[in-house]
Amino acid sequence: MKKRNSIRGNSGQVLIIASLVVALLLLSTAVYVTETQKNAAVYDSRAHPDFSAYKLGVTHTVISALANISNGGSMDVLVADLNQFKSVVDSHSFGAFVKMDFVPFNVTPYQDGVWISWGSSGRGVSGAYVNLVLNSSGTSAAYYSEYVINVTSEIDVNGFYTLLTGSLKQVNVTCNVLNEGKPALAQNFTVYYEQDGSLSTEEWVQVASPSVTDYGNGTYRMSFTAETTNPDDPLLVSVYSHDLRYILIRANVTCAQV
Amino acid sequence: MRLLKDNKGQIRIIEAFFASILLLSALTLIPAVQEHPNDSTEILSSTAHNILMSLDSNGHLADLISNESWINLKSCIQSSLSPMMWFNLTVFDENMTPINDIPITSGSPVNDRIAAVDYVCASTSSTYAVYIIRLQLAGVG
Repeated sequence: MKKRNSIRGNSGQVLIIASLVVALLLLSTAVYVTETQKNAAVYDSRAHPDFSAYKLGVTHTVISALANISNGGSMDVLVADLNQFKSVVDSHSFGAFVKMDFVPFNVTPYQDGVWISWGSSGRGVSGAYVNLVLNSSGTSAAYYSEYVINVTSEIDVNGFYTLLTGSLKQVNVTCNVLNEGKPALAQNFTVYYEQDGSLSTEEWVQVASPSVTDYGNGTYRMSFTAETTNPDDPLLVSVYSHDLRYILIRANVTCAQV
Repeated sequence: MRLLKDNKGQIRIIEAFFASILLLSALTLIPAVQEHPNDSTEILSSTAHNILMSLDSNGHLADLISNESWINLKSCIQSSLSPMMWFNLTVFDENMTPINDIPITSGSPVNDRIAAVDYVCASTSSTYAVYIIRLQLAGVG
């Protein structure tokens, strides 16, 4: 009878311990689930927050390379500069492991990611095109993004002239500057005309100080006088322009007489 | 008296139940307290990242660095931040050698909680260069 009383007296304590054990089990399960969810690397379709910065960096790298190439630099500069940027990102990808890959576009008219077309039809293009792939794997998420980096500077030139006296001609040239197909501003212009209007013997004469009117919307009008060898010589004009990114673009045009 | 003795165990169960609820609620509060500082650090990091990206969007940041215009760079950062915020900016080359010969800072930090962001900046000029910019931010209080 005494023994039975002792068992009954301890039953409350056993229940307390049992309830504490159950509570601890529940708690540890909840903590485990939360921590597991936190640590699981899930694929995230959104871009990594740092990817926009890396994309901007690659865009600047392509602009720098194109400025270099269009001003007489080697075609290898684009890949060399991109490799330089990649090595910095690879060795300093902070917070997450970032892998960067780039492929310069090699489909006509691009060659090794670069397209320089300074034609005689009044259109000049300096462009670069690179495919960029960014991969990031961290402790909480994995990201993958693909970008197309397209940097294109373009000028469209057309002009006409009126005959003054003898071989002297009053020339008006209109030039539209475009960046990625949108109107853009130019840093400077250098204008030349062909002395005898024939490209068999190129004798380009630089126009000392053309009068330039800036319409503020990427359209420029240049006026100057040109003196060709003969009054009947066609007037070939060559316009060199640096846009605000210091990318050089050149276009030649044959001006019409009015 | 016997009835009271019989109920003693049940009261202990209820006691234990309340104790475990108290224990659980106390434990659930701990992560909430810890999350608060992480959020503020994340906001500071995001602010620092946005400032650097905004300055870099048109290549202005790399121009300031290549021209060693540290005073102008300091003004740009200062004007992007609230006057109540502390900042310290260090510019490194590719080998993590500091470039700025004068400190670009708004004074001494006023808060122990400092967020630091490292940003890779490429120049747009034909003479190519890559810089690593470390911006540290802290709030007041």
